[in-house]
Amino acid sequence: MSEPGRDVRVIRGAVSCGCHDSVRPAREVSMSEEGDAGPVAIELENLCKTFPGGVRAVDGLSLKIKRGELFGFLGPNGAGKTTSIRMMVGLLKPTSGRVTVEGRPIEKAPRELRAKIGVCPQEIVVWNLLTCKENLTLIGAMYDLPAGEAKKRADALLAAMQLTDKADALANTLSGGMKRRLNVAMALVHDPDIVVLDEPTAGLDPQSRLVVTEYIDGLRKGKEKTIILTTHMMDIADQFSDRVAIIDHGKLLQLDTPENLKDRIGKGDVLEIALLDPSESETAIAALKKVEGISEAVRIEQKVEVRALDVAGKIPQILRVLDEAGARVSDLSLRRNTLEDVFITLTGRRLRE
Amino acid sequence: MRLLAIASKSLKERMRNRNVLGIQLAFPAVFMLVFGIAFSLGGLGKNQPYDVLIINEDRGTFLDHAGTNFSYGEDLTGLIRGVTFENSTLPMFKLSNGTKEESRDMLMDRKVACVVVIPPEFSEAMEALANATIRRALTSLVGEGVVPASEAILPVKGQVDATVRIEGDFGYMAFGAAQALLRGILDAYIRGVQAQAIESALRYFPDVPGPDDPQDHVFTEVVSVSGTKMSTAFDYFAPGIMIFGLLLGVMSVAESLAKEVEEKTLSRLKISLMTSFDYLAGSLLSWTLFGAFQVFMLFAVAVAIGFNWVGGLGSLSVAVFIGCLVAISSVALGMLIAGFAKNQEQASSLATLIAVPMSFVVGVFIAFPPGLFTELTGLLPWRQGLVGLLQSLTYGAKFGKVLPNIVAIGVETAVLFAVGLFVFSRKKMQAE
Repeated sequence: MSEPGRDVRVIRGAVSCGCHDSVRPAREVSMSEEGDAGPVAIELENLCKTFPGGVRAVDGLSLKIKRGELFGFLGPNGAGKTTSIRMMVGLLKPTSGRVTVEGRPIEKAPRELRAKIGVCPQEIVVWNLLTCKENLTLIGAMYDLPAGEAKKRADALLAAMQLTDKADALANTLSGGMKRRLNVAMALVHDPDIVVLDEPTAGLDPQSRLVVTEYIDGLRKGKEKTIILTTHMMDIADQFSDRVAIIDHGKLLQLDTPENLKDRIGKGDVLEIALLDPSESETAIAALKKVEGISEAVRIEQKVEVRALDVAGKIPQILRVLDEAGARVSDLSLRRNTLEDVFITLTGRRLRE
Repeated sequence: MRLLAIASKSLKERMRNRNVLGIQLAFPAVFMLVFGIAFSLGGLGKNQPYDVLIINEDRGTFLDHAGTNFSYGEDLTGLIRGVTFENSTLPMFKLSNGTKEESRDMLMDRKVACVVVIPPEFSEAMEALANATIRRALTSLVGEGVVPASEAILPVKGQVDATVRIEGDFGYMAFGAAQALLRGILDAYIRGVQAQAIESALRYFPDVPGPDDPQDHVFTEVVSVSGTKMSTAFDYFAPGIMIFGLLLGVMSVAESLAKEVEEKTLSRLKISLMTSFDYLAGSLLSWTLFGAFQVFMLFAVAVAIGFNWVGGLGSLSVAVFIGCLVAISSVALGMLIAGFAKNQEQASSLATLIAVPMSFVVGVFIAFPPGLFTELTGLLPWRQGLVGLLQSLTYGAKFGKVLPNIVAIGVETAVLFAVGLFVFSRKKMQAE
């Protein structure tokens, strides 16, 4: 029995996902025990989605999202994040598996339960010929908010998203960043318990990104809402998520807290080494792996990345080893471990590939 | 609440999209204009005599001062016959022959624009008017107190009144113009008689003032006769073109709903508490208001270019009601089409493919002979609408006669809306 709160490592056996007859090979999935404790807001069980033409967007996804946590979905474009989200909120039917919201299957969830969910889609979905305020109050009306209350909520959200001066401007006159902020506000106007934010910061200018992330941070700190945040931006997932699910090709690769995920691939920092001749990378990696204390040395694109505890202190030794191996260094840089490193370790690819 | 919010949103979007709104409103109107010109306005701009039947029942009067019988009725008839258009030798009126018994049929057949009935006591009343004019003029100089002293030379006032009736159909543009002209002529004639009376008095009393405004004894009454037959081919086609204009609404509705699906705004609504009924009924409400406006506009354009509707405001009200029902049918069909369309382009193509042939099938452009085909097309609300509009506007049928058509449109529209609701709900409002 693991101690409460401690990271546990589980080996999942062969699982039939239901959307295909083959049996997936056993896969190691790490889960924080905290994730399974406490009331569950949304649970995905063996969720699969295969689109016409045979494209399998989601492949046996199982996870539980706790009430009050900020749950990050991290993965590259096309990983299946948005498809998963669309199934979670009842916009898309799974090919197999099921989604439950507060213990009830989403397709049978009473309307009151559905009203607890607010969705900010990845695309900007606003009514261009309505003003910002009208967009918000329309959504309020769709959730049966009294007109006065809807206007009050709209004003508060416009202020939070720094759109007050655009309250009466038609949405089609807003900049892309403003529209995206309005897009986020529309998910929140009915004060939902579960907020689903699908790439809310995609394509945002720095100012808009700051406004949105600060608002998300405020929601997170309140601990009153369950927030599901999909992103391919590792810094946002790292900074805000209580737990992060890393998915790729529709499969769950890892699920844990950001710190645990980073620790799992090795505590410490990362040294990025650029060689004068990248073809010498393999020679360099072979030499580096012999150095004591280096937990990982891999080639990522044109560079060699070395991960180790106190990697800064090992730089002289690393340079000597490389010199002896005949690999000439053109540049060195040191950085902290990130969730992208976790993804690279798991897939051998960068998130943005 | 949700339904009204959707209706309000839909209306705002439409009103703010000015270019599209203009096209949606102008297209059927332009169509009506082109058809109107093509059908019946070859002679537009040319003066043509108005056919008028004058029934002169005037028995004449004996003029004391002239010592002879005189008929003011004949005098007036001669005047009307002789009036010409300004700067032209073309007579303004062509006087038809006919009896009082025939007059109604002539009006109903629009063989005449109007019927003027000069009553038997017209001359007596005119004479009384002339005498009263002279008396009023003289007494205004010397005062009524001295009248008995000069009674021997003052004309007898007389106590006879007469009313000239001008009968016709206000739904017939020719009547509107003819009755206005005739009233003007009668007024001028009365003033002429008064002036003549004053002129004769001037021989004895040089200081007599001109005739004053009050005109006693002779009055004019315009009598509306509805239900007259139409006179141009356009009158037969105008209701059909109205139906065609409303059928074009199918495209706008289908495109609008498909746009909501394509731009994913419908997804936002789908995950809310909104139901399919809220969405479609709300959309229906806003489109119906738009349709009602379109009906008025189409009607106004039709009348402006020569559509002679009959039955007055009553038939117009029935026609507008029918038009609104037909507009709802078009919205329902648009919803049905949007249910099958994947995007705006597809919705537009599909709607065109259905609405245009439909307009032929229901008889907008071709009048099919009675038979199984027309019986079957009667299952379409647009056919019922066309029949209803023809009945009320063109034939001046009473409400009771078009009620079966109205009921049929209502039932067929309800069925169409229910099917549209079902299809749209299943295809667009469920999880994909």
